[in-house]
Order: sequence, then structure tokens, then C-alpha cells
Amino acid sequence: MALLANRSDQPPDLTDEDFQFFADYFYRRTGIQFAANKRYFVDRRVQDRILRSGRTNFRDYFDFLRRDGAEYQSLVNAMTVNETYFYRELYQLECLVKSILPDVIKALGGGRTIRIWSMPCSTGEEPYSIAFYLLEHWRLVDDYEIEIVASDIDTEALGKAKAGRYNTRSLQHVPQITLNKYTTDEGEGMRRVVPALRDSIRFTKANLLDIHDDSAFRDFHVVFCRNMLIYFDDLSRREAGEALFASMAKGGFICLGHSESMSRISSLFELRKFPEAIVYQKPL
Amino acid sequence: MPNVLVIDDSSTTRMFYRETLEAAGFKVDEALNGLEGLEKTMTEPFDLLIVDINMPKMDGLTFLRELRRRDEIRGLPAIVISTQDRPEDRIKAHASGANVYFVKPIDPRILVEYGRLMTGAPLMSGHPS
Amino acid sequence: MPLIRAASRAETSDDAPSALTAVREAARAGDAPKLAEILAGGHGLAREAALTSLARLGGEASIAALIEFIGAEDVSLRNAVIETLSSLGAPAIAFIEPVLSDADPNLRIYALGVLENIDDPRAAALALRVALGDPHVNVCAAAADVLARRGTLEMTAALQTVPPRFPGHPFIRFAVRAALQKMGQAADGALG
Repeated sequence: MALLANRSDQPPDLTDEDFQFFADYFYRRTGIQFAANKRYFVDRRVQDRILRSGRTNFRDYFDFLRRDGAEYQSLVNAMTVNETYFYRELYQLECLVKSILPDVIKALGGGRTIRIWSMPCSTGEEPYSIAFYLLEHWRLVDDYEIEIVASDIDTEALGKAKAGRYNTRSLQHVPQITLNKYTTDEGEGMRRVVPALRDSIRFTKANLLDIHDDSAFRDFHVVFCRNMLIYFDDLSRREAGEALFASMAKGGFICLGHSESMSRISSLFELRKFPEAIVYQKPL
Repeated sequence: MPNVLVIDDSSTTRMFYRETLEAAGFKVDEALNGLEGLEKTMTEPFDLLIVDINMPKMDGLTFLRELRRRDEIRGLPAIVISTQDRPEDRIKAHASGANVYFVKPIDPRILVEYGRLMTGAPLMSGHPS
Repeated sequence: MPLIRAASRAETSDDAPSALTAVREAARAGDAPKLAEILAGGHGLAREAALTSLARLGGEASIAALIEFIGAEDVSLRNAVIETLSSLGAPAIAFIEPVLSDADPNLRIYALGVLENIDDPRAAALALRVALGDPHVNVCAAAADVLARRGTLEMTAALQTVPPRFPGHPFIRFAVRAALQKMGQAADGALG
């Protein structure tokens, strides 16, 4: 429901106290800290949210924010960098190959199947990145059966993921040699993931808070759950933590987004620090 | 400059320790629960940890046990400052890995003196009045 | 009592997906006593799921069940319960109120910890009452923490009467000043 926009020419100012108040609130909710040097970054975005919500000052906006889940999501969207592209947060893929998978293999016993879950997968950049990276960098990639499951609540995004078409901007961090192997040129700056790779990933619709009875979402050895839980309220985050925990094999690993922390989400997991990244583990 | 991590879910308490310790020449960082504290302790170099007991997501006792079972950080000194005032609370904290245990509220001069003691910084001469 | 956290994870059946299913079934049936039973005996996933299910269920039976654990000896359980009670919001206030006058100052502090995260003017009003009348410095400090988040400017004058009651404690003066600052009041001028 659109409210009348603020008609004033001046965006509502944030006092020093407002900024500190907001920074404390945001830190508490998300773990993300905005130091004084981020003042301009924060002010601009909060002012924009104030205007868009039809409020005229920070205090009124904050009262509204506290009661409105949709506004909270819009705010988080505004304060975080959301662009999805291939090889985003590359250090986690490095961690996967160098540290996580060696540990997973140790716990597999005799098993040869490794299950990886990308949730949310959005338009597919993440699961395809995982596939590319494993094929290119994991020397044991042919010794194991790797099942990548990619899920999202948004069926439109899933459709795009299955189609596997991306522009050069999204692919810019992928080395050309990798692109040549696993994508075909579609012209007009677009490339498409090759059919064999598209078919090897299982794309499924899923709502994390609704999957507990579904055996398709079990026994994952590695889960990527990046930049989704930050949008949830506290209780939903805990429930999501439970669902993720239940979906994982013992000893399984979970990677969150770069600026996310389990300290704002769930108490169930154990912290593991690898040289490349901090990840969390379901206890063995 | 010794680096102290204050782990407490009360922002007022964190601010109080921060002001006290910074005035005494310490560098201070903060965490609002044991898990955030553990993340920071594992990724940044600290000389001293100040730990509350009652916190969401990961309490102070659990934090201490995690601290003491991880080779990279198990040697760090940890001062517990808590509202819990029974003898058994103190015993539990020491059993989990606390080096020193104070019941809140802590006298800021004592906080500074113990901070110096446990980080090898020069102690104040004479006794605070 | 196990000293090493890993040892307390021996109850691996509590972490199995079936444990979650059992909890969800009890939640769907609205069976608060069953959830409380799982909470009392459970660890790991079972415990956490019982807590969030009780919070989701809401209602008198669930809140009353949770309040039973506010004084639990198990530190991690107790703190998880405090966190869970907060997420119930305003309906929890009526159940928390009696705990604010418990004989044990620790329980009064835990109750204030719940109020701190409840977005309702009654939370602030109760915290103010405690700050003005409680004899224990840490309880008053915890009340000041609640007021730093939830207090309103009308409370200023009343709040200023708290530090003189605890003359040897710089922290309570600091906490009240911090609360007043956050409530929009100028700092040192007001307190002197």
C-alpha cells in the first residue's frame, strides 16, 4: 500500500544520536556493524527508506519499522549488497575444496556420494558456480558422485536457473577457459550453461520453513544458505536453523553470507574456522 | 596496546567496560553473545577476554568450554563478570575455564588493575583509595 | 555435569530429523505439555525445536510452560528460555510480572532480560517500577537496560532518583545516564 511521499525537498536529517541508535539496532539484528566512516552510506539509505515509507523523520520511521516485517526486509535489502553473480564470495568455494570436502570425505566412511544444497539458489548463479568450481579445482571430483540440489521459494527464479542463461556481467569473474568448457555462446552477450551440467543439478521449489516432512531434503554434506536468513525475524531464523540442521548429515557444513553470522541465527551449530573461511558444522 | 574483547549482551555494560579500559590504554572490541565472541576470538588477536555468563545463543560457560578446547585460543586469559553470585556459579565458571570470577557490579579500578595484571601491562603503583 | 561441550552431545537421537518431526507433531496438536516434556528432557535440536514451537504456539499454556524454566539450573537452557519468552512479545508480560517480585534477585534479573526485548509500553512501565523500588543494584541496572531500549522521556525525573540510592556504584550512575541519553535527554547536565 503506497503512502503519500514526503513532499519536502530536503531528505530528513539523521542526527548523530539517530545514526548511533540505528547502528546499534542494525548490529543487534544482523551482526552488521556500521562505523562512523559509513555515516554517508547509512544516512542516504535510511533517508531513502524514510521517504519511501511516507514518514518525515527518523523516529516515526523507526516506530513503523519495528512493526512492519515488509519494511524490515526492504531496509535490509537497502543496507546490504544483493547482486548475485558467478563466483561471488569465491573464498567459500576455495574453502569448499581445500578444507570442507576433505573433512566431509573423512566422515563419509565408505560412501561415495556427496550431497550439496544451494538454498536459496535464486536464478542459479550459486549452484552453477559450485559445479564449475568443483569441476575445475577439486582433484577428486571424478572419484565421488556429487549431487547438487538447488532450491528456491521463487518459481520464476527457479525457471531462470533451469534455463541457465547469463550475461557477461554475471559471468565476469569466471575464467574464460572455464566458460569455454561449460557454457556456450548464445550471442548478444549471453552464454548458456551446457545441457549436461544443467541436467545434473536438481532444481526444486522449497520453503525452508516448510520442508521437514520432505525426505528430498535430507543428508546434505554441505549447505550454502547465503543472504537469506538476514531477512527473517528472530523466531523464524531459529526455525530456519532447525530446518537446516535437520536437513544435514552429521558432520555436515553450512556456509552463510559474507556478512552473516550464526550468532544472530541459531545455537545449534558448531563453529569451524578454516584458513579460507569461518563455517558452521552439525556435530558428528 | 593490549587488545580486550568484551562479551556481554548488555550494550550499557559493554560501553562501561569500553570507556573504563580505553581510558586506561587498552584497545577494546565487543561481542554481544558467546558465539559472536567465539567468532571474533578465532579471527582476531586478543590479549584478554571479559565474559558475561547470561547471554542468548551461546552463554558464557559454553563460550569458555569452546575457548579451552580450541588449540589456537585456549591459552587466552578470561575474566568472568556476572550477576550470578552463588558459590556454585563461581565453581562452574572456573570448571568451564574462567581464570578470574567477579560478581557485578565491578569497581572500574579493579577491572583496570586485573586487566593490566592479566595482560602483562605495568600495574598501578600504590593501592587505589 | 560434562565439562566439554562435545560430551553433552551424546544424546544424538535428539539431533535426528525424527526428533524434529516429533516436536512438530506435538506443535500441530497444540500439545504444550508434551512440548514442555520434550524441553525438560531434550538437548540439541529437540530442545531448540520445542522452544520455538512453544513460541509459535503461543497462548497461556505455552507461556506458563516456558516460565517454569526461567530459573533452570542449566545455564544454556535458561538463557534459551529467556530468549524464547521475549519472542512471544506482549502476551508474555502478564506472566513475567510476578517474577519481577521474586525473592531471588537473579530471577528478577532474568525477567527484566525478557522485558528488554518486548516491544510494548508495559515493559517499560514495569521496568521503571523495579528501578524505583528494588533494593538490589544489579536488578536496578538490568531495569535501566530495559529503559535504555524502551523508556520514554516522562520517566526522566523518576529515573534520576535511582543512582543516589546506590552511592558506591559508578555503574548504576553510568547505566541511568546511558538510559537517559538514549531516551533523548542531554547527558551530564541532567545528572550532575
